[in-house]
Amino acid sequence: MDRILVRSSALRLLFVVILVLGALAGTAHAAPAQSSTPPGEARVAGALFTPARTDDGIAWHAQWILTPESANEIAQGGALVIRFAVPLAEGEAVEAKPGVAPLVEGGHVTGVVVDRASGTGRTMSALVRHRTSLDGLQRYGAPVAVGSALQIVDGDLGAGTRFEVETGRYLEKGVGHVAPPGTSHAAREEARRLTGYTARVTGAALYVRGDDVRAQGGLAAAVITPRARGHRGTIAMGVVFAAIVLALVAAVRRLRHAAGVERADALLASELDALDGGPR
Amino acid sequence: MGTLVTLIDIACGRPIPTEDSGRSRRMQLVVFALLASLVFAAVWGLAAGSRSAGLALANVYKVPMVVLLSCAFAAPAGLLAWRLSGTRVRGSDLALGFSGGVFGGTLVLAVFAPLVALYYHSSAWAGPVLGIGSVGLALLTGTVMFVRGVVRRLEPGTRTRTVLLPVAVTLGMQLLTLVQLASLASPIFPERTVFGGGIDHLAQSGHVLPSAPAE
Repeated sequence: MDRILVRSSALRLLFVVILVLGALAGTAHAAPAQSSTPPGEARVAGALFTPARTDDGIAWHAQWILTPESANEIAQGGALVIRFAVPLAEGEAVEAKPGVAPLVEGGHVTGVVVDRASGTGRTMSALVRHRTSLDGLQRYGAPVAVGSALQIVDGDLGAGTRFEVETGRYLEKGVGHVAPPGTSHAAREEARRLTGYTARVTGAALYVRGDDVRAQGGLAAAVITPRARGHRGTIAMGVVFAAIVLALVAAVRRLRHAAGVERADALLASELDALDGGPR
Repeated sequence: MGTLVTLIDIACGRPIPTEDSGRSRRMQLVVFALLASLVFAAVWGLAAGSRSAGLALANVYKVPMVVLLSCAFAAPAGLLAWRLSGTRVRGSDLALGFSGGVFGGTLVLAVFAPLVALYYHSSAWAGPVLGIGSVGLALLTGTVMFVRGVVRRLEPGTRTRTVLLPVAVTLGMQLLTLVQLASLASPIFPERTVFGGGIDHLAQSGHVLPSAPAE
């Protein structure tokens, strides 16, 4: 009887183990990639992150341009990790799509595992949703990839609304763009060429390097609407306007007497001239 | 009323009467012209925003503010160009021509105001078109009056082209400031217009560097 009971317990345990293994095998495609056996890391040559407003925040359309070597590995059927400069924060998530799986390490999404299905050629794409209220200063949700490649974060949210990034010591404002100090025009042009980004002179384009973003611990930006941008200017304009109007009114008062005297003198002179010339 | 008639005469390029040609009287006319321009601009602003009470009231000070500040920001550049160009035109003639142009331009706005208000209330598309059209016409009228007023008051023997530099600089500066001031003061029209976004919006529509993504 005891042998039967022992065998039964062993069978039950075996059954449970088989059941768990089967369940794990069945959900392997849907679950995030675990850190125990991560694939090799992809090298990024450039990237473009384009924001779009959604009902609950921002959706970042991410396009990473891989180096030819990494793209070749993926083309041969492999999967590679695109590691983010900083892990996604709370409220940020990679949207599931074929060929893209979030890489979870230590409870945080630290990158995405991409394969052939996630893009074409050297371009891998994904969508990162950032639930946020767009009020005040907030974290930039763009999933900038780690590395020294120059990546472009488009800050244009349409209708004149845009992100205005906080420039620390890793970024400086240029004419129509924000970029790491010392970034040449050629480097920006190369980043644009790689990503197909159409340059606009709106000051919305942000050029960043993943390593800088990592060193800074992420980027912070404020969403500025045209109304908010113009508000401070309007107050200053109002003050200057009032000052000029007051100056004009004061000038009218000051000039009234002098102009009256001049006018009277001129009229008197013309009357005298007329009298002089009248009898002749 | 007499001063208003004198201002219209000056804006039309007629010679200044002898009794009004003194220095103080000229400056007084310049100031009167600018103050009258503010009233005309306010009338047009009221009409352009008449579909909403809040916008109409805001336009009563916003449009005159845009006009006056554009003049104030353009004048120093015009005076510098006048000095550097060495033209023999009198500074007060240049100021009188400029204020006459502003006066004439805003007078066009005021004349169009009833029409703008009427069309804003009775048509979905003609109101904004007429509003923007009246601004264009006012700018054109103001430019013509400014140039004509200055050229007609040139001393005999002075070449016309010598005065064109300060005139062009003043007009250019005023146009550039108008674009940004209108953007800062927006909304002036109930609709979103191409001028609402300022130079950024205008440049964005005109300056695009096409490039292809990496393959």
